[in-house]
Amino acid sequence: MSEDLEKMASSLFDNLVPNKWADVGFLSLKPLASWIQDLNDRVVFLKKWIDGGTPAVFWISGFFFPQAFFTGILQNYARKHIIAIDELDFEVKIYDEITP
Amino acid sequence: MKQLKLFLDDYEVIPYKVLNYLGAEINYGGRVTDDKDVRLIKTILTKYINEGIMTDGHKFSESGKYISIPANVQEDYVNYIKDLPFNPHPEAFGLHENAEITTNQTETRRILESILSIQPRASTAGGKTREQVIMEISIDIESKTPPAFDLEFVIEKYPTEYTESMNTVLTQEVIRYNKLLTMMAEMLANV
Repeated sequence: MSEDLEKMASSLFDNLVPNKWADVGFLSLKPLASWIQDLNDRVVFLKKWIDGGTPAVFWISGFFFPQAFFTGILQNYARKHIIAIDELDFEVKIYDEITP
Repeated sequence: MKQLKLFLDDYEVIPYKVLNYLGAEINYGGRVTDDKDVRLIKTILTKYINEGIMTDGHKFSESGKYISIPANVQEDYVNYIKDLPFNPHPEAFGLHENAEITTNQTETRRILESILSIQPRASTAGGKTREQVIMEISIDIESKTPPAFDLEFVIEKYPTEYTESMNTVLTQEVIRYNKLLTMMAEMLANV
């Protein structure tokens, strides 16, 4: 067993995400069990997107790199309406209740 | 101390400004290389060296635990110091309450890591060896790890387009998740 595998094994034993995975993984402080669940939820989110087309609503926390998503949104808007991207910014509205 | 006495004796009034400058910029600040740190030292020191400290009960911080006590014999000062909290709050160092959060988190993590590290490794309850337990967990995780995405398919269905940046976002996300999923699958298969 190599050193990496040995380290992974003790992480699994302690219900921790192995460092090797965390290094290439999404930002998270969850213990292994919830981390795996989170990973599955994220994959399902992307899978739905791939199979069913670009969604109307996005699960922002499901992104590996949400910054790219926000930039993408700005870029789409800028190109559609022919506005310089650096003149655009987001406006945030907070709702009291979740409306379906 | 010698310097302090010299300045107190030589001046008619107490030269607070001079004392601050000596402390924050020369004696201590002179050794500090970061200018923001010097500024911090200056700010903290002004809290302690100012006209107010000659007033009895002058507060050095919000809570009023740290005050200027009436001048008396040395014993009074010693007793006052003995009464100070054993574990001082950040205010004692001129810092905000939030400064303690990081310290506490680090300390908690260290304690928990120590507890984990002294857990028995050789055998576990129920007669299973550590190796067996790891084997079971890794098989379980392996079964719960989703397969990597078909990148070719994604690129074909969602090609890079000038008007549709979301395609690029999706492709990049898929690449990132694939990197992780592939590594997990490889490592788990080798246990």
